[in-house]
Amino acid sequence: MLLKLSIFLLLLLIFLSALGLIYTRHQNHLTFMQIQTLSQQHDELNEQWRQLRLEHSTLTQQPRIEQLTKQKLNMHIPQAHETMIIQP
Amino acid sequence: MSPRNPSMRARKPKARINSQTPILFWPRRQWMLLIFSIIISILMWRAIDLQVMHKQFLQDQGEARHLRTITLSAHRGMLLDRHGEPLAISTPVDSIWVNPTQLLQNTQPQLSKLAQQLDMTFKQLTHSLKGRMQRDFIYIKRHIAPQQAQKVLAFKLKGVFSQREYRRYYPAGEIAAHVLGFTDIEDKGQEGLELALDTKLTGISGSKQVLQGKGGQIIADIRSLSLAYPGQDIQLTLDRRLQYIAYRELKAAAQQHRADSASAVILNVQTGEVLAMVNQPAQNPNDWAHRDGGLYRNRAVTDVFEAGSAIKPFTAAMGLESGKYTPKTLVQTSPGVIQFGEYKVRDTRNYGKINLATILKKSSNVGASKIALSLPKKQMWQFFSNLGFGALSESGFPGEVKGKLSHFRYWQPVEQASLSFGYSMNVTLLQLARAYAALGNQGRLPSINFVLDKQIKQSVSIMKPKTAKQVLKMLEAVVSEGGTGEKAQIAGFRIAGKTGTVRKPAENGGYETHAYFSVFVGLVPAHKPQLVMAVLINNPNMGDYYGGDVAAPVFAKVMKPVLRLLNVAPEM
Repeated sequence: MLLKLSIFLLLLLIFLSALGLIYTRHQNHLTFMQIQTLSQQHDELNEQWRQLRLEHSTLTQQPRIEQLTKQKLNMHIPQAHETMIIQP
Repeated sequence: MSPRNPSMRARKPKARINSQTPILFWPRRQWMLLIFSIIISILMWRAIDLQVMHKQFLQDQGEARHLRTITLSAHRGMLLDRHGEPLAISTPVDSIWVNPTQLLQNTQPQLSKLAQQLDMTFKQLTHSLKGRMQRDFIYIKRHIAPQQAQKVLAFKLKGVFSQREYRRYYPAGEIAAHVLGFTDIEDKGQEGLELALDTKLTGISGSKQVLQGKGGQIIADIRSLSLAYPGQDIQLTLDRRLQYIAYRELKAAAQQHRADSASAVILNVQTGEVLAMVNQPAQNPNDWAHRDGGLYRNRAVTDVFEAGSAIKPFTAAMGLESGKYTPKTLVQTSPGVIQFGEYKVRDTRNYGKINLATILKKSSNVGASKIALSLPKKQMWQFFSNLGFGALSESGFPGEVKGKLSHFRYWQPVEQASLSFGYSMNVTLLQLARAYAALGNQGRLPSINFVLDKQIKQSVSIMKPKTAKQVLKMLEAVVSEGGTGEKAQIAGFRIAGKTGTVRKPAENGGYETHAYFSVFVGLVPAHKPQLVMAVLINNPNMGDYYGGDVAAPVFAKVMKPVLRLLNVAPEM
């Protein structure tokens, strides 16, 4: 009787573990998909950031700024007579 | 009549069959059983055959049809300047590739549309396929913007695919081209720091397995095989702003004097960090059409020249270091010429008895020779070697050359004398700037760095701090009214510097009569130097050729805004 019961129990456990396996594999698959989507998103954002960085860097190049300040804003570098040194 | 027990119920029908003369068909049943068993065994055998015997083959075949391994490209790290501004960035681009056989299944209008979207004519498109029809993979357009590639793919033509790649952009263009170098179409470093730092910058691409549909579209990700590691970003010691100012002024000077080439280097005196390194001629590295080595050569480290009078401060330092000379010692330079067999060392005029400061200020060859000849050869060789001449600077820059400082065993008196004013030896502009940095760094020779590192490497002491200070004082006189370096003056700052005007070596030996290198090296501010800048103009062709007239003004024009940018307070 005890033997029969334990065999039954074992079978039940095997069945449950089989179900568990299916479940975890499914979960694993879902999480993997999720991480893939997220990492893709990460890559895309990263690339966007790099592109913006490049753009920013191109826009802030010295020659461009120099030209803009001189021509559009009529600015110039202060000459010696326009500067004052304040001793600390 | 409900059955009292199961046996009763079972017996009853049996009895009925018995009563109807049962026909058992035993042989037939057995035949059927046999046939079924055979069928089952065949099926089982087949199952075993498929599952066990051919499992690997079938699995591979199945996977080959549905699973695909795709590479995950890892981008190359950025090169940043010392303030974190990007100097080189890899941004994603797409390359369009086709399977020609599949491609030609599309209709002609479709193909024209494709060509148009790729900025090609239909003819160019078909031409690019010609002769390569048997291949499965042909690039028809590389490195286009991802948005453009998306439009191309949106046509959904057969046999057209895109591949993610990276392209290197240099926002500073030609300004930093020589130092940074460039990468090839596969994003591998080819020249300059891109080459030197290639292993760190290169990412490691990963791969993953995906499930693909019939048309090759990706349905699901199965598993990751290896992760992609992007390359490291590297912060350089260069300062983008200084780099630009130095470039602008060097270019202006090179154009003004119609020079063959020109270079300039700015170093931090204490740390040996390269703050700016510019050359002429230059070429925009973003323009792939003109990748000519000569235009990208970082002349400041790959080309050597005889530094001429710019070496004299070290001769003076050597004299002071030996103890035989003090700043007050007078050296007899009369009659302004020394004869070595058929060679003559001469000054522009007879200066008579002069001290070390005057030797530097008037740039007396005879005076420098007298100092050198009064000291042992070995001591002089040792001193010049310690200054880094004739050896690599350990900067790790690809193509860096050692220059030439021959061993003292081979020196004749004429060599020893000519070394004292910078002939018979070759240096790079970087070596020269570094040796001057030692004068500004209390006699300690800094190691050269291109990569920003919080830990400052130990500099080697090569002369007494007192000697360095005395030489600086003398060099200050050079950049004053009446000195050869007068034009390097900047209002509000004291400058220590030295000019050099060197005759270019002729191809057939000897020297050219009318071709010169104009050199200037300066330290600022003179009382406590922070920066050293070396300028070399190769073969100025517009009349002026003295270092003091051609190279020294570049120093002043660069340093004036640089000192303002770096917030160095004026001292007077």
